[in-house]
Amino acid sequence: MPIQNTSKPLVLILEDEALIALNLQDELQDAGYKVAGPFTTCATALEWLQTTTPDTAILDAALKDGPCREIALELSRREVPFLIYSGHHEDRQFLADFDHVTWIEKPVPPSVLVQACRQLLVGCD
Amino acid sequence: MLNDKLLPAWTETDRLATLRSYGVLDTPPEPVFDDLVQLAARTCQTPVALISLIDERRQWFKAEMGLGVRETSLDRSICLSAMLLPGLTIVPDLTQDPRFARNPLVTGEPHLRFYAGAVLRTPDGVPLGALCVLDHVPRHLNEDQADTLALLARQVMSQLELRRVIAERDEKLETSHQIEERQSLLVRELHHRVKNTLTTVQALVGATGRSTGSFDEFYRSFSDRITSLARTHNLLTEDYWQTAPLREIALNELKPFADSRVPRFLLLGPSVELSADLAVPIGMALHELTANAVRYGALSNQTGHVRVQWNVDEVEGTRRLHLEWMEFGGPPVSAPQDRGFGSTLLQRVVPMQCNAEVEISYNREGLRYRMDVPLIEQRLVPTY
Repeated sequence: MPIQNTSKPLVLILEDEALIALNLQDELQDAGYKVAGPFTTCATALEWLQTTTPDTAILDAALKDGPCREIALELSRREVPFLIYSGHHEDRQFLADFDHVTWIEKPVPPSVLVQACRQLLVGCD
Repeated sequence: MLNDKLLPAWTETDRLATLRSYGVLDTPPEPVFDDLVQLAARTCQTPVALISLIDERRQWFKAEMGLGVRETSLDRSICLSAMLLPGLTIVPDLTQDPRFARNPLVTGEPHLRFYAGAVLRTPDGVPLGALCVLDHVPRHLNEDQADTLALLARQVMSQLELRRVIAERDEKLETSHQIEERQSLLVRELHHRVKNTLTTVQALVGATGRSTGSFDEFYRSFSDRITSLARTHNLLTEDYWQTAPLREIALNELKPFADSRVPRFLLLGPSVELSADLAVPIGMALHELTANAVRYGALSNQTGHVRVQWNVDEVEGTRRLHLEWMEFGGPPVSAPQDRGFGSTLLQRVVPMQCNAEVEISYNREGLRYRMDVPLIEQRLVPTY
């Protein structure tokens, strides 16, 4: 692995709409980030989290196997800043205890998400 | 025996259907009917009064006093005979009447001797049973008592009618409630789908932009993709179940080649309905395959053709769709230099979105693309 890669921040993507996830992945990579995933289910993301911790994360609120609650809890426990990229207003019902994190409602240009990630990372320095 | 003049205007099947339509059989006692038999007994000064409904093999009592049972078999029914006669039937002494003298309720317990019954007749003239009074001793009814019994029988019938109207109204309310429910479900689904579509379109803008060199090229590719997406959505919304037939999705893409003198494509496979989750990405995949074939492959010349073949099998309770796209007779194929949006969609989006296994082969004689997809059986709209 090239040395400069190790300094690239690692962003976890949890998103079950493949087109959105891959587009986001491309944008983040173009902007100089490394991407973990994209994961399409909470289960696969949790499994990955058992061995690694990302620098930040973009979580779709509602996945096919349920809301992103467990991932959000695990990231909070590890003090990893993350944002929730939500498709629908009612997603907030299932994630009421994450009102304090950044919520971005779909759709926004990927550049907005990249910018939001950058801010999350600045915030934790 | 009935003579011709008395032949009824209904058949027993109709009569039973009418009786059932009141939805009264085997329902619990209700005060309104209990009161009416009490009134009948009090007026006629008898110890027994019944609202008897003649079912297929039994007479069933909606209200009963003085007998202690809710039904008897039809061979014990005096009301069955009364029901078939017009107006009021009065039998002063059952033991003296050849029709009833051998009835077990007459010869044995509770030794009934006197019967008076008024037919319960629907507004259409179909008899359902009788309101009757009985006694253990032979006797008569005076004119007042007889009139009142007939009047009470009409009251019973009015109550039964009322009951039916209410039941019908409840049923209509239930139906309209179900329609409302379906409607709100569809509105919610539509809302989700619009949001998802906008998000997909936005991703399409990005992906198309990344893979095209000029604005004209971008505009054409992007518009074509939107058109394809719109056609799949048309198929989904046209269908009650909100699914789209695979054949129609493929036809949407290949239709421009349908009128060719030489057949340019073949669609071979059973009828398969795809839910929105699968119809959209599979529709997009077929669009990219077609666009690629038109540009570089079997549909880029006058002689090539495309074969789309699919089947469905069941593995461990999950139905799987196997679909293969095969091109023949096009210019020689070579693997593309760089990965455009088409190949991203076919090789990355479809596996991720549909949980599918895919394989693309740039065979020299024609491109092949294979996907193996677990079908999503869950239907959005409830079955009414």
